[in-house]
Amino acid sequence: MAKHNNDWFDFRISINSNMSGLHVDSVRKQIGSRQILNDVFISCEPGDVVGLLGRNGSGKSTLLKIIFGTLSADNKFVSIDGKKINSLYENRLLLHYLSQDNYLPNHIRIKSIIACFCSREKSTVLTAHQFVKPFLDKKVQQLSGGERRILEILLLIHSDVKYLLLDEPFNGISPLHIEILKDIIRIHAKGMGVIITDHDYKNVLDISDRIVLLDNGNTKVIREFNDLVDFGYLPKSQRLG
Amino acid sequence: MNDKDDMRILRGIYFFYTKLIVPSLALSILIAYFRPAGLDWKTGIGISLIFLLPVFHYFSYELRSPQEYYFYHNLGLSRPILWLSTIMIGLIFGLALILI
Repeated sequence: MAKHNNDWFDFRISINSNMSGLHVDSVRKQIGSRQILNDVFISCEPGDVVGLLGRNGSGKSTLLKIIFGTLSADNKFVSIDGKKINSLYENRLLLHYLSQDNYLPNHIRIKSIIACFCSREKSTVLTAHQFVKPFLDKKVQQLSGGERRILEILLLIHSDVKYLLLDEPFNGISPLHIEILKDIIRIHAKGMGVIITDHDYKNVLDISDRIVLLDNGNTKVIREFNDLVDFGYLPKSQRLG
Repeated sequence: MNDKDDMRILRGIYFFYTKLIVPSLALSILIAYFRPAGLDWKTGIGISLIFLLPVFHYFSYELRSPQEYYFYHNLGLSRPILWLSTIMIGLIFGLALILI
């Protein structure tokens, strides 16, 4: 029996240590009487862009906040490269989160924020970026909403973490800049894993390698465009073929 | 934790408190002006600072711009840690003013 137990523990340890990537499992969250998330599973490997879609109130932002660690769940299991993540402090070099609202401190100059957030090498790259260079000596409060959003995304992309959670990144950005940002995300996602959610599903479809739909508290893997119609995310008029 | 990581976190804490320390200190000096007789200036400022730093923390970050917490969360600083450091910094500066 003891031998059997040891084998079982060895087996579990070997599974965990072989589990590369970001793994999120068994996430349950109830708010009031409503079960927002019900045993949700989602995973992401370095180089993956995973699009997370769902109707308003389906729990997309709630799930991202639970993964990041700023919102408690009734139950959750989050691991990165086989290591269970329990706190924001453990996350800080592995996982960053772009919130829906502008999160940069208004009272700090942009060059100081970059120096704080990025390594020296990445700071050099970012400060030379065409979007960032003109604003280096300004404070965040002097930027427009769209400029702030672009800066926030560029900061996260140029940080040294392995995974990014992007919650409505294209909110308030002009179509031209959305296209440029999509290219930037695509290029940088080769080295990092990204889970992205946005109400503009076309942008999410454009840059994602995989799509996961959050529906009635469960995740559903989307294999083709028409699955989004079948699961009730898109109207039937949008069915292809 | 390496030196670079230490510096990032310390710089983050510095950013967090640059928003709080100047208004807290200014109001503490103002309040200390109306201190009771027998209380010296430094003690008046120190006591006010111990109470005002958490008050400014609450108004600046909990009420006015709670979304800014995410900047510090990305640096690994959770909300309870930031609240704890507000109380500690208030006590350290306040007691230093009272005792020195």
